[in-house]
Amino acid sequence: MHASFINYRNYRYGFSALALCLGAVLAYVIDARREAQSGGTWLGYTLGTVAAVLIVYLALYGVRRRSFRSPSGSASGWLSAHIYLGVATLCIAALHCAFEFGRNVHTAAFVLLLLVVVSGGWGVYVYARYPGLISRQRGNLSRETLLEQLSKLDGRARALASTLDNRIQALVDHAIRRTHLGGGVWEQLRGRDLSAILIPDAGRGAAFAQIVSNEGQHVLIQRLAQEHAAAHDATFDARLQELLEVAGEKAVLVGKLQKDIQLQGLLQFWLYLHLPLCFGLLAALLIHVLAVFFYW
Amino acid sequence: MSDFEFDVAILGGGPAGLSAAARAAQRKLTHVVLESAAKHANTIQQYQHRKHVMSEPGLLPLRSDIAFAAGRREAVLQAWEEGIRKTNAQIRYEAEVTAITGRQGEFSLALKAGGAVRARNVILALGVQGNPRRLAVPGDEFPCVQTGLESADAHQGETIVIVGAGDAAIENALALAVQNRVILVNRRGDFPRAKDSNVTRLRRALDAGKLECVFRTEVNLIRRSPDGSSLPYQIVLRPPEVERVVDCHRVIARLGAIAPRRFVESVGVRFADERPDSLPDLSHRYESSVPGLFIIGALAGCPLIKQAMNQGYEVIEHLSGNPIDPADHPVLEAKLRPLLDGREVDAALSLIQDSVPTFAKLKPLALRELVLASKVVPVRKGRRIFARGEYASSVFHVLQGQVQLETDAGEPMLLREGQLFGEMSLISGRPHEIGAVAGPDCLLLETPHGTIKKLARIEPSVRSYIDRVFVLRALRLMLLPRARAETIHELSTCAQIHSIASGDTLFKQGDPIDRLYLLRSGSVTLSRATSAGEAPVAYCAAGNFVDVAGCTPAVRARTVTARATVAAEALSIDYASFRKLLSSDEALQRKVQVEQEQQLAAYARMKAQPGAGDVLSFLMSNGVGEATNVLVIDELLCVGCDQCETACAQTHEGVSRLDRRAGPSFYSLHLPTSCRHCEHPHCMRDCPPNAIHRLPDGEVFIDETCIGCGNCEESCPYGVIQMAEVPPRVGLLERLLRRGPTEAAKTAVKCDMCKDLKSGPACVNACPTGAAIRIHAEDVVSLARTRASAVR
Repeated sequence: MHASFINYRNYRYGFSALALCLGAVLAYVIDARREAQSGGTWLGYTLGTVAAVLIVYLALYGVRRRSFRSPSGSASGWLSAHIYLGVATLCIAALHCAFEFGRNVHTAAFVLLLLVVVSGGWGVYVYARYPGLISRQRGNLSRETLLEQLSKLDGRARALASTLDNRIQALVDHAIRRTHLGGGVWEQLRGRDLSAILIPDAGRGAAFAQIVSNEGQHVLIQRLAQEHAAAHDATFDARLQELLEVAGEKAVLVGKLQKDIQLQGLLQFWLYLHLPLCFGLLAALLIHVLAVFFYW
Repeated sequence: MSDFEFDVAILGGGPAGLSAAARAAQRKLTHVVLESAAKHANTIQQYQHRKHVMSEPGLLPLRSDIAFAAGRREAVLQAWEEGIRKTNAQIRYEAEVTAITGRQGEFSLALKAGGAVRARNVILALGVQGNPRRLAVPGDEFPCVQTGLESADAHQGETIVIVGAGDAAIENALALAVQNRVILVNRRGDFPRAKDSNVTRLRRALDAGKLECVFRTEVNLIRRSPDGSSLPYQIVLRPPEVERVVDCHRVIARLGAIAPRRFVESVGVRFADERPDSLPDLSHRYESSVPGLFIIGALAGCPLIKQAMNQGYEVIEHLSGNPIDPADHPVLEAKLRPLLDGREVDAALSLIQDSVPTFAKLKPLALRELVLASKVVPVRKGRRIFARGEYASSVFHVLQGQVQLETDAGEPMLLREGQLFGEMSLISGRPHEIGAVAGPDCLLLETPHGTIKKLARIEPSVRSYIDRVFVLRALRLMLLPRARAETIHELSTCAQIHSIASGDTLFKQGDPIDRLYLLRSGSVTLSRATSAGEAPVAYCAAGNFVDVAGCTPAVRARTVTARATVAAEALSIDYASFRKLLSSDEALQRKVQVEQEQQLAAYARMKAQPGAGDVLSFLMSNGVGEATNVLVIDELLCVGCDQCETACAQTHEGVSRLDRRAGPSFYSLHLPTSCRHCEHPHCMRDCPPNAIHRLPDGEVFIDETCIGCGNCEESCPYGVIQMAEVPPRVGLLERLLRRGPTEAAKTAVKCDMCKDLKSGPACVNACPTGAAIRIHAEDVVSLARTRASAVR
């Protein structure tokens, strides 16, 4: 049945990466007895070459992702290898430089590698955790279905409000028009409800209005509840009650959609760090290699 | 001759009638076409505007003085109009014939408008749709009442009442509901005549509030609205309780056509039998049981335009004393070449009919059609015809030589001339249970499943013969591989075949155990009653015994209910006979015991995981029970990257065959809209050019001969086929010279399981997280169980 990229073929690449790291550590420990380790020793160059090859291989995942006719194994296998070998590369690169760091382009390359691996690790965490959260909180429904439900609820609220007085009609209409979903990157990631509502400005008289936050449809529900409490006509009362229920349902639905947008945003956000860092790493690696051979 | 006005009178001005008239004009026969409508080709005139008219079958040459090629309705009608003018074919419009009397040489045709036409011969080219049934209520004559719909786009913002419960009514209602208020009036409580796909689409539209449907309601009358009303007409409906008046702009009655059978029978023509779809008895010259009276076109069972036109031509040639071979003759000659050996085509056809019992009772025209769709294949001795486990798309008959069927147990079965094989896969839609190898001098007739299924529907003798062979082989293969032929024959006499509609039960919990059931097509779920309703405990696919676990001497009543997940068929034998067999056959005892143990263990495991039953029900209710390969996405792993869709589009001319977001979800399992490669593919049921095929690995795909008719799209209950404009392949030079096709034709596209990619389905291969997998229906139980433990 379904096998995730983490336990792909019973952790095949996890064990390969572990073996690679153990081999490198063993070689490092043995060779350290013979001579002081640095990037310039025989083992240093070997480990550096292995790490550079691994980095190029890891970057090729981006190419494999876009070659849909590729006979070179499944994308999930590649991703699994990408993750485990990525962590192994960090270990090998650290052994390659024998933990010597300074203010130079070589360390810059290592730091970039570290950032790439850390951002990738964040990616693994969100890929492993968020799909389940998203699926659970959506409750078997797609985002499109939730949006359809929202538009139906708005339609019902408008229809109900149209049978009540103008004030309530305006209130409902403003609440619908100022319901806020999504927004810019930051707004999506924060997932706060920025819905607003236009209400009469009590301090300045009936002709003035002000926009206030309607987070969780709170103000709309409160105002409708006030109207409800003050109503005396039975039909009016029943419709208001229904409108209140619709507003309550909408609050839950808007919350669900906002959470969905936030989780989807977080699911993708790490890539916007990981990819530029990858390109930075490749550039730094190239400079590092050229510099090493130039000063050889 | 001078006593009679015409050498030939032709009833019906459709393609068949026009072609006959044009030929008669060329042959200088005095003739007249009597067309009840005001225009030629009335059925095609009523097609929606710009509808594509097909010219299948492609193999068959056109033999007519009137031009015809596939194209838009308007172009086809214009070509025929020109043909009528150029050939000087004589047509009388609005001339409905009410009765035909007399005999060859002196037929008299009474006209509705009065008077009669006399003719020496009569050709009935009436078609089957020409006479739409009307509402027959007061007000039926108002101009707002119509019996067809030319273009849904012509109506906007209207209130339209559609009366009917067939496909035409539903399709019109759905098309009009986009821009109008539509009320569909159905006399019954459901839509038994409509295609499943149409009913599904309608239900979806009803749930979405796009139109209204009233059931068990009849039309009382139609009247003009009183002055001051906003809409011009009122239709008065009579639901069971109280009368309801609906203001409307228009009423469309889609009540089907009045079949001309009664009229044809009144002339004295014999039909094969009483079933409504049975055909008139015709000679190979299309002459009916009344000498001098010929029947051609759809009424003769040939609904394709080109065939009908050829028949019109051939009948006139015959009447002119020039009996020519039918247009399909050279095609048949080429097909039958390995069998001809100096024989004529007709002799070779007779040979097939005499030697193959399946076709013994076929009419000559039906046999020609069958052979046209089939292949005659010589196979070298020792060559494998099919292997066990391969999916099938054809059935075979041995025309010459021998074939060996390889069974698991016992001796191989030897088949001789005339015998049928491949019938098990035909019925189950599943891979072959046995292999077949050619013997010496082997010559086979290979017939596509679609053709043989269609034939079995209209020809009961074919159906019953295939069933008989199936029963005998199934009993031998599944139950008694070592039994003597007499035992099997004896047992087969008590065997019964049961058809169960989707959702119906084969037996219920608590029913007495009186029969042993073997599922031969479809699938069933077995469930037990709990306080919360039925809880599924097992899934049973075609080729398995249903609830053998219950068939032990200690158990007297069923402990489970068997409910069909899709339309299914089961073979059953009397339980007493089975027990008798069991006591005398040790091998059978062991086999049954093993199956019982497996089934009981499976019941127990499922019962221990209540969630698994729910997942199983979800999968079954979404048609996974008939899938051979279905895409299932694990939402716990899916990151929504849409790589699956991109991969599909990138490997298929830029058009994705799957819609990841669409489709239902349950327990974080998502079934996207993507082909399931059904055991009995709905799409293959009605493909005019036979462009849909199944490969031995089960992939169902559409080849480049697709004509874009859209039948498959409509037939698919899962909405996985789309009509897409696949950009034509134009070379660089042609592009520079601006030659070659510029407009992309719409053709049907669907998942082909990336049959040409060595790496397998691109959607699965491109999924970075392993969320997308493809599974077989048999894997559903283990999927349900793993899911139930993954999601709590």
